[in-house]
Amino acid sequence: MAANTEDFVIVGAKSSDANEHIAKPALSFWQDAWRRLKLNKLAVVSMWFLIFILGFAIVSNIFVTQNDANSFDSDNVGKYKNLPPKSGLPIPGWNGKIKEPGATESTDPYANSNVKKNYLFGTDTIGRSLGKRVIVGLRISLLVAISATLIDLLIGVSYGVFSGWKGGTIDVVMQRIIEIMSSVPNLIVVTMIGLLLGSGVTSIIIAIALTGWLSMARQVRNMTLSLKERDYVLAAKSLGESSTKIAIKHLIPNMAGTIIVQIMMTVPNAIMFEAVLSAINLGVKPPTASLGSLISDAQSMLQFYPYQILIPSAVLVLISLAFILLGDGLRDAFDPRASED
Amino acid sequence: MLKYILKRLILLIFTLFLVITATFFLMQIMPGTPFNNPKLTPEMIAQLNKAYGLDLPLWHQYLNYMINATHGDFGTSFQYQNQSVGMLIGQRLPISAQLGAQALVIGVIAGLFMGAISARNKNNKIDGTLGVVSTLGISVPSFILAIILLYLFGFKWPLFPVSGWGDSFSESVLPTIALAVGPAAIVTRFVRSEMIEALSSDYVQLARAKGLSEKEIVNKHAYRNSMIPVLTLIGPMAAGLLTGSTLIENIFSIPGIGQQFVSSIPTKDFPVIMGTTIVYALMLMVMILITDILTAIVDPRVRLQ
Repeated sequence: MAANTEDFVIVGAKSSDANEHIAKPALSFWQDAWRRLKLNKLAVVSMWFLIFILGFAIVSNIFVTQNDANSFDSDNVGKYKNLPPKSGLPIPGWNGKIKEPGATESTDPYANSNVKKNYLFGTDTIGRSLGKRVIVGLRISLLVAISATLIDLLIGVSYGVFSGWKGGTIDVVMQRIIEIMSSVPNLIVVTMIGLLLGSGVTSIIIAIALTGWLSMARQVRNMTLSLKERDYVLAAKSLGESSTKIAIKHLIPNMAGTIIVQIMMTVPNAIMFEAVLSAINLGVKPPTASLGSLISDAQSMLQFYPYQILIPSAVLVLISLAFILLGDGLRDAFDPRASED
Repeated sequence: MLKYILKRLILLIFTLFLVITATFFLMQIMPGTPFNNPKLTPEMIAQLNKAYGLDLPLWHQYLNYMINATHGDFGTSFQYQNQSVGMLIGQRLPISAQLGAQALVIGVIAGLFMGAISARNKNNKIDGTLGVVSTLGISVPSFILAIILLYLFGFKWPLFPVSGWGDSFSESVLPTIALAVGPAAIVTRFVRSEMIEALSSDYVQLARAKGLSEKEIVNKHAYRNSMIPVLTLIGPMAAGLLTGSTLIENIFSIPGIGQQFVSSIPTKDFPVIMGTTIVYALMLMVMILITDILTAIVDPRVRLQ
C-alpha cells in the first residue's frame, strides 16, 4: 500500500513561525565582545587587577593622606631612615635584613636602631614609609594617566571625526598638521610644556595630553572615512540629522572598539611619560610623590637600597602590563577575525 | 620618485622651520633668566645680555637666530662659557647616535628572529613563552629596565661597568640592551602576526601546491614578505629610542646629547635646549623620511603620495 501524507507527522516544524525561531538569544556587539573577552584568561585577570588597583587607589584616600606620606619625624631621621622591607616572616629579602654600605654581612637595622614597627615596604632616606609613598604616588600617577587620557580622547576623537567627516581640503590640512606634529619628538613637546608651565600635576597632564592624541586622531579619522560611506549614515543624512548628531549617535558608537583599544595603549604611555618628566626634573613638586618621582629620587640609592627603586618600578610595570594585556584581549574581542588565525 | 623625495624634503624643512620658531618663542616666554647668580650686579647682567645679544628687540633676536641657524651656528651656551652649542652637540652627537644605532640594529634583528620563531610555532609553548617575553618587553619602560640591569649586572653580579662610555666595549652592553629590548619586543609581535597572515595566504598555498619544501616556503616566501612592513615601524621606534636614550644616558653617565639636554633644563641654558631640540626633531624627521623612502623602494605597492 502506498503511503499517503496523513501517515506522516511533521516533527518540529509545525508552522513557519517555528521555522524562524532562533534558539540562542541574539547577542549584541558588546555581549559578543564580552563573551570573547572572557575566553582570554590573561585579559580577564588584568581587568580585575586594574579594577582592584583603581578601587584601592580611591579607597586609600581614607587611610593614607598626602600628609601621612610626606611627613617625617625630623628628630629621628637617623633612626628610621633606609629601613629595608620587613614582613615579620623569615622570607629572604623581606626579613628586615640588609647589607649596609661597606658591610660584608647582612644586619638588621630594625634591631640596631631599636625600631618596633615593621615597615612592609621599608622606609626612604629620611624615614618616610615607602609603602605609604607608593600608595600616594600610585594615586597621582593614575590621576595623571586617566585625566590625560580623557583629554586625549576628547581632542583625538573630535579632531579625527571632524577631519574624516569633512574630507577634502580640510582633511588634507588637518592630516598635514598631524604629520608635522608627530615628527616632533614627544620628549621635546613634554619638556617644553613642563618648562613653560612649571612643575606640577596640571602641567604634566597637559603635556601628556598634548602629545598623546595624535595616534587616536589618526585612527578615528581612518574609521570615519570608511564609516561615513555606510548606509545607516546615508539614512540618517536623508532624514535630516545634523552632522554633530550623526557623529555622536552613529559614528562614535560604531568605532567604540577601536577607541577603547587605543585608550588601553595611551594609559601606560601616559604613566611612562609622567616618570620620564620626573626623571628630567620636571615632574611633581617635592615632597609630593608620584611613581616616577619615587623612581628617579631613589636612583642614587640603587647600589645600597635597591628596594627603594624596585618597589615603585614594579608597581609601574605591573600596571602597564595589565593595561597592555587587557588591550590585547579587547582588540581580539572586538575583532574576532584577528583572533581566529 | 624624485618628485616624492623633493616634496618630502620641502615638508621637512618647513616643519623644521616651525619647530625652530616655536621653540624660539617658547624660550622667550619661559619664566626665569639664565643669569640669576646673586653675585651679579645689574651692570654685569646688562653687559652679559649685550654680549649674548639678549638686549636686542625680539624680532631682531629671532632673525639673528634664524640666519645663524642656517649655517649651523646655534649660539653660545650660557652654562659653559665660550662653548658654542654646535660644538657641544657635535661632540656628543656621535655617542648618542652610536648608542641608538646599536640598540636599533640589535633590537630589530632579535625581533625578526623571535617573531619568525614564534609564528612557526604558533600556539605552542615556544610561542607562548616568546609572547610573554615580548609583552613584558613592551610594558617595561627602557629606563626601568636599565635600572634593573644596572642593579643585577652592575652591582649584584658586577659583570659590566656601571657608567662611562668609550673606554671599552663592555661599557655599552647594558645601555644597549636596555634600549634594544623595546624595539625587539615590538618587532617580535609585529613579525609574528604578519607571518601568520602570510603563511595562510594564497601565494604560500601555491608554493605548497607546487611542492616546495617547507623550509623554502618559509624562508623565501612567507618570511621575506613579512619583513617589509617592519620598515614602517622604524620611525616610531626611533622616537621611542630618543626618549629612552635621554634617560639612559643619564642613568649610565654616558656623555651624549640626552645627558646634555637633561642637565641644561634646570640651569635654563636656553641655547643648548634649543639646539638639542632642533637636532632631535631633525633626527626623527630624517629617520621617518628614510624609512618612508625605503618602504617605497622595497614594496612597489606602496603608493607615493
